[in-house]
Amino acid sequence: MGDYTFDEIYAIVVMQSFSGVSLMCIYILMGLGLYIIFGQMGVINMAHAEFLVLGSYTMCLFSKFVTENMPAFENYYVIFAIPLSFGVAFGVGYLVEWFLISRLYHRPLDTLLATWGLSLIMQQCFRSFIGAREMSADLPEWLLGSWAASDIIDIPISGLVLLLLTVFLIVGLALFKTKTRMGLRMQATTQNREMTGALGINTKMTDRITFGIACGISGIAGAFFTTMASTSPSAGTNYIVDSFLVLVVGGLGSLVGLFVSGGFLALLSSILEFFMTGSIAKVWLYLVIFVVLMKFTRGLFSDKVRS
Amino acid sequence: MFHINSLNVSYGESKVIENLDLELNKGEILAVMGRNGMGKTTLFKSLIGILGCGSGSSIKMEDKELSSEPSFIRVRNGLAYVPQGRMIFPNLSVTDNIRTGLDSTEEKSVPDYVYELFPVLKEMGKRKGGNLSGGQQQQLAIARALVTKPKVLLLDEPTEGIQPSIIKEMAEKLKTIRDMHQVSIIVAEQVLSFALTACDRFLVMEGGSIVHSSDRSEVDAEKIKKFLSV
Ligand SMILES: Nc1ncnc2c1ncn2[C@@H]1O[C@H](COP(=O)(O)OP(=O)(O)O)[C@@H](O)[C@H]1O
Ligand SMILES: [Mg+2]
Repeated sequence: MGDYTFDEIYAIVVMQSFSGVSLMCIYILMGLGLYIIFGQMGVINMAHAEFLVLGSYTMCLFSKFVTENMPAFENYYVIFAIPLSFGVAFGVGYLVEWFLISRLYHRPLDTLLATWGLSLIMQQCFRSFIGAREMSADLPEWLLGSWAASDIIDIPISGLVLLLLTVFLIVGLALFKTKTRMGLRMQATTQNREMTGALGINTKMTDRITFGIACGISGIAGAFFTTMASTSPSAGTNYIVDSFLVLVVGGLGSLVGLFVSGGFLALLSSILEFFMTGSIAKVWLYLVIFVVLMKFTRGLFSDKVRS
Repeated sequence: MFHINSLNVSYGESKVIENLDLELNKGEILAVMGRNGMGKTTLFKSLIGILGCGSGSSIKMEDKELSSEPSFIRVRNGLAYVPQGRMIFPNLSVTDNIRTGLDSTEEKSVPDYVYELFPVLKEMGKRKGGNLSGGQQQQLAIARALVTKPKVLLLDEPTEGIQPSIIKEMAEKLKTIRDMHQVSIIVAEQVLSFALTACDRFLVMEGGSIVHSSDRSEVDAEKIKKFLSV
């Protein structure tokens, strides 16, 4: 690992860990969306990362709009941009489920192909309607700063904010799932679709809304993404594989697993990336994942209650 | 009030139910008897809309044609279903299991009559559905169907996997439910004693058709027994 002293390595690991926090939040939210869709509908959404990009663009365009038209508002627009990113991704997801996915249930291979096609179509739409050039959001000052925890350790504020928001979002989702009618419909549909219909619940509508919510969550991940990098039409392609890995390593179907594996992969990849080039770091990352999956073939936390 | 005309149901190429006609009267408890594999479950699944039915088939609740409607619309028109094997949501609490049935109604909380009928469901309210015994799950499945406020209740082999000692009690419960809620009931059964206690009319199904029908007043238990034995 080169000529670093122990103290330096310690500081690097701590700092890279915190810069990995933003990535972790994105992984967790993406994994969560994929998990919700897969759990309820048995669909693997290959276009999921394009909803992340959709959320990023929403944030960037909203930022541009605010800077040009209502500069006084610049410091606070982020607060409204996040729900807006959710809303846009929800809306598009809702329509995609209605016109595409709902016609392909029980045909897993076709859905795989169709959602892959959808991801290409969405990328082309971004290119045609928004432009191929990279875009970024003007983030307010307060989000860009960092907090000096010690004289060699700096922790970015944005990472802390994202972590807090992610925790809020997940608690909110858990409450939504257990306390609302819609949540009950979603749980019932996931556990036994036919029976749910036979009790008077419109399972197709439930699917549509669930799919929308999952896409909306990845839209929020997209809004978060603007704090880390600039957005381009194909920005999502780097994230889709990793998001699936988070899901698989976590053991399909466990929220705790999602958290642990999201954290594990994000931290590992940002620490590795500090010491070596991106692609070598990826090789090491996949090797570690490979070893983990050899040892825990069903993921770190597989769902044992499932019957 | 509930009319089934020339019902056809098949799994792919194999026809299981052919040209079945059935009429259910208001307030009646009708037994559909028959050995395993005779088509009882297939009949119920097609009535509730889990299985589609062939062209020309008609399923009518009062004057409303339901044969091409999805399950949830059928439920909103007064059909309710307690499947064979009960199909409780294993990871939902007992209360939430009942609430799934409330979804299509105005009601927000579980009505009291449910707990009067099945006190055990109140005690077990917070338990997961998957952790109940067979008999408790059966009560839960009936409660869950009942809160949808059905006109017609479909019960598929409610005595399957239930202790013989409480079978008689369940038959009485069925009559109580009919009287309290003015609901008509179709129950698929292989246990003759249960059907004889609970039901007003008896049909026997064989190979997807009705081969015998008799009223309570003229029932020939020996004859039905022959149909039920292999
Ligand atoms: N999913 C299925 N696919 C093909 N055939 C089936 C299926 N389910 C049931 N059958 C056949 O349909 C016939 C009727 O079965 P079923 O309705 O379950 O009878 P019962 O409920 O009276 O025991 C049987 O011959 C059975 O083998
Ligand atoms: Mg059966």
